[in-house]
Amino acid sequence: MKKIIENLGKNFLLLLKYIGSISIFISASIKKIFRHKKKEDIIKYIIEIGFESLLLVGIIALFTGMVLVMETVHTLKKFGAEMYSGGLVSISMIRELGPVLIALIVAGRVGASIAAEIGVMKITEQIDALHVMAIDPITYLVSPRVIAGMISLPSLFILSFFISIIGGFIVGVFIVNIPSGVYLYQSFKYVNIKDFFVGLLKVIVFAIIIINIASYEGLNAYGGAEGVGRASTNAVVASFFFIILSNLILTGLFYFL
Amino acid sequence: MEKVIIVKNLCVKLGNKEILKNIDLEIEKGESVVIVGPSGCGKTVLIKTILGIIKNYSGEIYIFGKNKEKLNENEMRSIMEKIGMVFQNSALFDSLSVWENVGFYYLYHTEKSKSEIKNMAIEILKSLGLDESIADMMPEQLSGGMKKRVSIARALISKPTIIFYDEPTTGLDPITSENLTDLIKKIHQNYNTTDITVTHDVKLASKIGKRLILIDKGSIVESGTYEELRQKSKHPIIKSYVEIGG
Repeated sequence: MKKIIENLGKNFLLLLKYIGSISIFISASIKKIFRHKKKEDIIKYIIEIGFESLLLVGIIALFTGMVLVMETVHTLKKFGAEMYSGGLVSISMIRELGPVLIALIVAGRVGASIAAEIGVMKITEQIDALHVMAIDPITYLVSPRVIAGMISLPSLFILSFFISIIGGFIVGVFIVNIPSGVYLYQSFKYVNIKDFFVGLLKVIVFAIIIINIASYEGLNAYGGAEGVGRASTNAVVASFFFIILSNLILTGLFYFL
Repeated sequence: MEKVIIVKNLCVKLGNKEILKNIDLEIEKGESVVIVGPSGCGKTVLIKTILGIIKNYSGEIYIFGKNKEKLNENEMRSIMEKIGMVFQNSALFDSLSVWENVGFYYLYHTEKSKSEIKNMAIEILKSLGLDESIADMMPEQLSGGMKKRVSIARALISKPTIIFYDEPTTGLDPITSENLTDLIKKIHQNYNTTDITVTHDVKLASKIGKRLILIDKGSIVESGTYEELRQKSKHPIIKSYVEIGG
């Protein structure tokens, strides 16, 4: 029993240490955001983070919209309220599912690749070469990706919102036979400007978390190919954890407290 | 003679392991110093600490007479402009072409046009015996020897006064290794650089090193010219090096 408590305490302290290191890293990357001199790098990373995730995010948003209508329409039908399924899709997607889904997709797809790329640079001394040329790796490698993430994720969020409504529309209108006008009216009726901005804030926070955790893991990679693999895995696992945790905090702040 | 690098009482710990202990070192302008020693003795850690790649150390490091700890970002940049480094595995940036690798310092730090920087890179590549046609290639298309030359070109482009070489001949075949040794010697003479080389290669050490420093278990144990060490040193590592080097 004593050992279990000891281990729990040890792991909790490690988690606190990790949160501390990540926080310092995030503040450094944000501080250096305007120091990066090459604008074309930001465009390159927007393509990498945003544009190349578009298809996956689009398909998942479409299917999620369809599934939400499929799952809820039977229950709503019992109360004669199936026309509200459009509102349910849009509220879920803008407040919770949209931001979290996009963040998890990007963390899995882009976070792992950033950690691997920077990890390889670390173990092949390319990061050391940057130091020798008086180039700060955070300014050169992390800050432009943070900017790109802060542009890409909100764009994906807005797109996924509309795509999920289309998904729900397909099932709701063509299969459940809800009149199209009613479905679309219900879809936008319950969404207010606060939901939209909280959703945007969430994806911006998630973007900062994903890029910084992936870069931090890459810059701290060691031990050859195995180390790069470990950095990628850690980047995805830690990103997932901190996305869910920060979503809980933000939802609590804006909708509960 | 002006001392370009002074290291006083340098100690470096990585994790719980003490890698360097009380290192005192002075390097004069124009010298060619070779640091030798067995694997894991702290040679690379020493040059990486001098260069500021390893930051966790105690002691003092002066570069061009200035205490490294007291330099601001701009002062550090102007000092680093005068320093080049050739890494053990070349450390070329995979995502950039050869000319972008060579001209990277200027691409990042200056407003010079890309074509101007490309021309500068091509000139340096040519001076090192490389063909102009490789300028647009990617690093993965080059052989080990070519990568090393490109890495040297990257170190030379800012016309440095100090060049660090970390195991420059490691992983190369004997002929390429011999050619590279001659190239390093030629660069030292033509560019009048101060060279600090870390190596296991006894032939390279005897050919380019005007002064050899032996590090063992994190401390400097012997120092002198190759001939002096060959004749006077009783240290077993020096003896075995001399046996191999002839």
